[in-house]
Amino acid sequence: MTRNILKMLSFTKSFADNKDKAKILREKHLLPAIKNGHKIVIDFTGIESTTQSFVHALISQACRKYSGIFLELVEFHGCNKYVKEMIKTVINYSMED
Amino acid sequence: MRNLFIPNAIYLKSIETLFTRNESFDVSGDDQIKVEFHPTCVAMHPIGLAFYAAISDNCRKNGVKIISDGINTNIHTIPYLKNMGLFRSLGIKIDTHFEKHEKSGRFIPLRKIKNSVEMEEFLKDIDPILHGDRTAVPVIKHVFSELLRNVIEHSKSPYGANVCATYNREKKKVSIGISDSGVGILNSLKRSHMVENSADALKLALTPGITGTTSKLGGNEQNAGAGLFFTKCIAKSTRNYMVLYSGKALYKLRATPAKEEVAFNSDPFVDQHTLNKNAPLFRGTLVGIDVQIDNSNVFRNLMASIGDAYTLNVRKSKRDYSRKINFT
Repeated sequence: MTRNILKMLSFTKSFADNKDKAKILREKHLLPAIKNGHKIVIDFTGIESTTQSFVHALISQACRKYSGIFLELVEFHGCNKYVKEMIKTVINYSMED
Repeated sequence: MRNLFIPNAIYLKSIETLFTRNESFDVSGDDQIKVEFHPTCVAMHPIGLAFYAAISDNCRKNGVKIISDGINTNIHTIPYLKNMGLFRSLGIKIDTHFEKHEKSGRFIPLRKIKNSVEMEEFLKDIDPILHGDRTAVPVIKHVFSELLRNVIEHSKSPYGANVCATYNREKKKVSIGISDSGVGILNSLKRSHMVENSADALKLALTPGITGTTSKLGGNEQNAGAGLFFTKCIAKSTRNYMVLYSGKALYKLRATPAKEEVAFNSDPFVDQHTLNKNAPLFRGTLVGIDVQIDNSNVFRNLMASIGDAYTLNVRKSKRDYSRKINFT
């Protein structure tokens, strides 16, 4: 299975808050990868902190659209505690049964 | 011609002093306004500085000239006000000499932010003010980012956001003021919600999951409607005030007393607050917040707790997916 790696630090600053960039990552990388059934690793190595708005813009739509498939195909790598909490929050309110 | 009176003290706790001798802040229809300072003392939280910067933007937008008879140069806060950019933003010249602030990064003077690039630059510049407090920095940056992005995305102000901040080293408190001269919260939310007046609009804006870009609770792919809710919770968790003023309404979150437990309410009117439904008309939006950064424990699990409170209000599923997320 194809496995894409999205290195966040290549796209954003160590404080990841730019939602315009999150939108580009979502539209160009995340959604197409899941649509094609490819695994995707979102690598947060080097990201010190982020905002709920940024994480929402990055993954919320994919969560809602693909639900369980999203959890199967998307891996979050190198997240510190702060980033992990943001991801958990967004996934928990975005998922639909 | 109308007068714009600047009172002797503007703090979040007593924000109503803004209204002293000012019946309206709507400058449309005026040719010029005369700024009149309190004769003996002018102490000002960053929210005051941001507010007058927005009034100045409104004047510029409407071709209104700002004039002044000057200010008593014996007022000891003039150096602070000048360094913070108040007189520059109002276009008032002050002929007085004073020593500059120490270069310890305790002050962020008034600055305009119009887009994401300027915002990224600004967020880099605020690190020195926090002296590298590792637990507080992400939270403070979160506040700045959410509030500034609200202006950039929703205000439609041609002049962008006005932002300034101070750090009180003794109290370990960061004070922030952010404003714009845009369409205001009521007009912004009206695009997607049935809302009739400024007070109801402030309530909606502070409610988790409400955004002006869609009528859906929880927002759309780009907006979650969480920014102001998170900001309110951050002020509350550190037992501080927060002020939101737009149109004819002003909401003031009161500080939670030390003996009371902090709760993150989805309804802002359940929080201890003051609401003025008939404030002088202000065309734009103003936000002020204080955040105490002396207690690392408060910040340690803060964002997770706020996230839980937000999720409770907007989640579509009752299941907890945390364990199913593939963290490596």
